[in-house]
Amino acid sequence: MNENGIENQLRRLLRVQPSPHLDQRLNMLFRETGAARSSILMRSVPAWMATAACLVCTVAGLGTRSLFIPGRNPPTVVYVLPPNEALTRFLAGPKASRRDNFDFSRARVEVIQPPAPQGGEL
Amino acid sequence: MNEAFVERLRQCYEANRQELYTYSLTLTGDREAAEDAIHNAFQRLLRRGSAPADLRPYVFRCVRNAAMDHRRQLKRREDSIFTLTDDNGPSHTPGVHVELKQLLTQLSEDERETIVLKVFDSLTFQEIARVREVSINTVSSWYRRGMEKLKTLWMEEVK
Repeated sequence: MNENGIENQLRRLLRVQPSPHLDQRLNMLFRETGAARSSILMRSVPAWMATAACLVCTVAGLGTRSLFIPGRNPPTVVYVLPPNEALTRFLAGPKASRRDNFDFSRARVEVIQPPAPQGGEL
Repeated sequence: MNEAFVERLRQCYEANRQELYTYSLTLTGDREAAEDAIHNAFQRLLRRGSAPADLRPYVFRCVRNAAMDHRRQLKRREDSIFTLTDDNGPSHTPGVHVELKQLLTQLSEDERETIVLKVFDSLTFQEIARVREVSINTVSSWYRRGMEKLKTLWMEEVK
C-alpha cells in the first residue's frame, strides 16, 4: 500500500461523532453572547444623559472657541503732523489710490494741531 | 465584539464541528475533555471579540491550546478518534481499518496530529503550520515521516 492508499484507507475510517450535548453547549454559548451583546446595546446611555453631555460639550466648545479665534486688533491711529488735509484724505481714502502695502482702511486719522506759538515771552 | 463576529464563529463551528472534535480528541484522548476544550476555545474566542480574517486555522489553534490545557490538568486517557464498529461499504478490506487505527497510535504525537489535521480535517500544510506555529517544512516533514512509518508498520503487519 502506498501513501495515497493509506490516506484513502484512513479517510474511510469512521470517526467518533461529537455528542449532541456539545452542540447544545455551543449554541447556548453563541446565544448567550449574542443576548448579552444586545442587552449591552439596549441599556446604553439614556437620552437625558446624552442630552446633558451634548449641552456640556456645546458650552465647553463655545468657551474654548475664543481661545483659538484671535480677537480683532484695535484700529491703527495715524497722527498727521503738521496738519495736512491732502495727506489725511489720501490716507483715509481708498487703498487702490496708493502704491504701498499699508492698509489704512481701519485706521483712525488724527490731525494734531501744533501748539500755537506763545508770543511776548522772553 | 458585534453580532457579525458571533455569527462568524457560529458558522465556523458548524462547518468544522466534526473536524474540530476529531482534532481535540486526538490531543486529549478523552471524549468529554475534547468537548470541553472546544467549548472553552469558543468561549475564549468570544471573550476576545476579534479574530483574524483567516479564521479556520486560528480556531483550530485555539482548540489546540484549550485541549493542551485540559491535557495538562487531566490524567491522559486514550479514547480513540475512531468508532469501534466499521461500516465502510463493500470495498472495505476486513482488518485493514482496525490495524490502521492501532498503527496510528504508534506514531509520535506530532506525526499523528499532522496526519489527523491533513487527512481527516483537510487542512493544508500551510494551515497546519499556522495552527502549530511552525514552518511548513516542519509540518510536511512530520507528515511524510508519519506516513512512512505507517507504511512500514503496515508492511510488517501484512508479513
